[in-house]
Amino acid sequence: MDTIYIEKEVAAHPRTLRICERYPRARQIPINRYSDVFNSRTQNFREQKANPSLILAKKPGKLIQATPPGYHVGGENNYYFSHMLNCVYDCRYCFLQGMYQSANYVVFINNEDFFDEITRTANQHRSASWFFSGYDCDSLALDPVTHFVDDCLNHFEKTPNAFLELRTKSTQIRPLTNRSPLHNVVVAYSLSPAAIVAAEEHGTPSLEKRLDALKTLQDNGWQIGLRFDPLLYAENFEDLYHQFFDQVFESLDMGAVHSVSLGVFRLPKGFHKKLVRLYPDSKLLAAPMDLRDGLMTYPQSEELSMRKFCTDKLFTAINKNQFFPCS
Amino acid sequence: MNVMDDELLSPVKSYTTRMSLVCIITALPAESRVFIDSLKLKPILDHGWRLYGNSGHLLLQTGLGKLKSAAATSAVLHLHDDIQAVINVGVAGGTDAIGTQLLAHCVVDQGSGFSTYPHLPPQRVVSSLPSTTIETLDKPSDDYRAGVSFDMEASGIFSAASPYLSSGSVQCVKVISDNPDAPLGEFKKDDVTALVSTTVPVVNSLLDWYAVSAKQSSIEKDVQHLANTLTSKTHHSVNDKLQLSRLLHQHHALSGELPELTALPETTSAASLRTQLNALINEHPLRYGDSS
Repeated sequence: MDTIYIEKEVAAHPRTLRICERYPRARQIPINRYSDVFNSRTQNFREQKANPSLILAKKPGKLIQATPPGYHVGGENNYYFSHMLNCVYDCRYCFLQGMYQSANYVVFINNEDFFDEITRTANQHRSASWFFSGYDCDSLALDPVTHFVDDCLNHFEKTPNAFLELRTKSTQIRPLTNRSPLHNVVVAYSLSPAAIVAAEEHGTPSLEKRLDALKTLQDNGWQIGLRFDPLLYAENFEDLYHQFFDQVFESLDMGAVHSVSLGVFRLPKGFHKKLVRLYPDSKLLAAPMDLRDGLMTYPQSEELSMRKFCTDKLFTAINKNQFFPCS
Repeated sequence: MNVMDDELLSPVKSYTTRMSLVCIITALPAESRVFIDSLKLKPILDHGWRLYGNSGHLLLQTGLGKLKSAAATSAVLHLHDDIQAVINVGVAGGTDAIGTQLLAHCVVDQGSGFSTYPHLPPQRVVSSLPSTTIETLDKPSDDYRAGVSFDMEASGIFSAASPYLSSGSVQCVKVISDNPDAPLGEFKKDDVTALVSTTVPVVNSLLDWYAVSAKQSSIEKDVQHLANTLTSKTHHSVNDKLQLSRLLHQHHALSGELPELTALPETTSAASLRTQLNALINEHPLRYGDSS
């Protein structure tokens, strides 16, 4: 990390100091609000991705949001939160590239405010609530810097009516394997065939390493989830995904998997347009696409066929009550 | 500016089709001279702007003050759409020692209070130069404050460049020329060239860095070149041109190369050209992995 922008309000916070200690040579630049840097309109996401800066800030306002419709793994009350904005990985299909002007990482250091709001929100409901982390970032990838997961697990350990999903592609699982598993935490991995990981998920751990991490977590008693989202179109789709699912099924105890979800590539029209502008030579953006309900996605017949192939394959290894297709 | 009329070259358009340019922007002739000499720049006749160039670089001398710097920057960026980055170099007042070189991490326009944060290059590129806030003043001042350096052009340049260039493509390197121990009143204009000369290594490093970045994105130029060739033969509306460019990129994404001109026989309409291109694209289905 070459440059760290620090909101003046959090400059003396112990977490800020600890993170800055990790990068003694980084430029430290004081700022008033993270949005002054992060939301500036003249930024180029692709340029910045080659040399991202870190922004340490206090997340203001509402910290917990309701999930979009259909975003759940069986719970009634579903929320997401983002202790960080942006991801250390560079997946070509990622919606964050369309959503944000900047590729810089924002790390919010007011963890306790997140936890207080999680408790307040969970206490509003009689049934358990789900809280999804990893919507605007990878939950584990920058954890050696943020140490968020440890704090988060400590909180959920004391909040049995709240369930946590940590969504990730990272193999940084030490904060989990260093402690006893929690009944109300699911570690969910986004998985894709190895050839797609190599071509479109730049900088991410290989499929093999992700499966190793999942197996370790499963062996340690943690509940795991599998997220096959996005499925990407290819002429050799069935070959790719057939081999891929076999590899997944051979690596894990599928009957013990908490939840499996699946969705095809889809992006809001504006995000897709921005992605095409940023990466005009991207292979996945050269696939045939239609605009449906404001989303750029594959033609309906293609989508149905991809979904059917994968669903049929999945049901050879899991039960229907483990399956939560994304709309 | 000591430029003889017979030294003047033809308008800069002769340079602009060759490669991406980085434009150094200075205010004073004494600042310009450093880069004119080190980069062997030649004067260019271009709408009366003080402009110098070679095959990869331009130097724009704007004159003093943010209005002049904004006007000149805006005009030159409008006229030369192949300028990939600009670097403002010059002297500044501050609390650091005379001769300290600084990279701007924030540029503030004192008049409006508006701040800009350039996306900074990696430290290795700028030899770990310390960074600072540059506040652009309307009038010279000796109200020195720690953590802030003063100039009179940077905010004008950043503001004018923002419609054209990203925040990582506008940088500002300043060298301290006056401070509380040697205030502006004692400043000798003759010292400017010597002070600015010290920035040559870091400016050269930035120029090299931008040149490497430009090479990495050269496919965009190849696509535009081919698109221009194709549209010169057949009428294309703006929308047609966008669709053509997208198809050329898709062909490149799927096949790893642009189509040969010979594979696209002359057509009578943009639509029939697209049909031809789509047929070529369909020869390269999207596949992943060893079986592709």
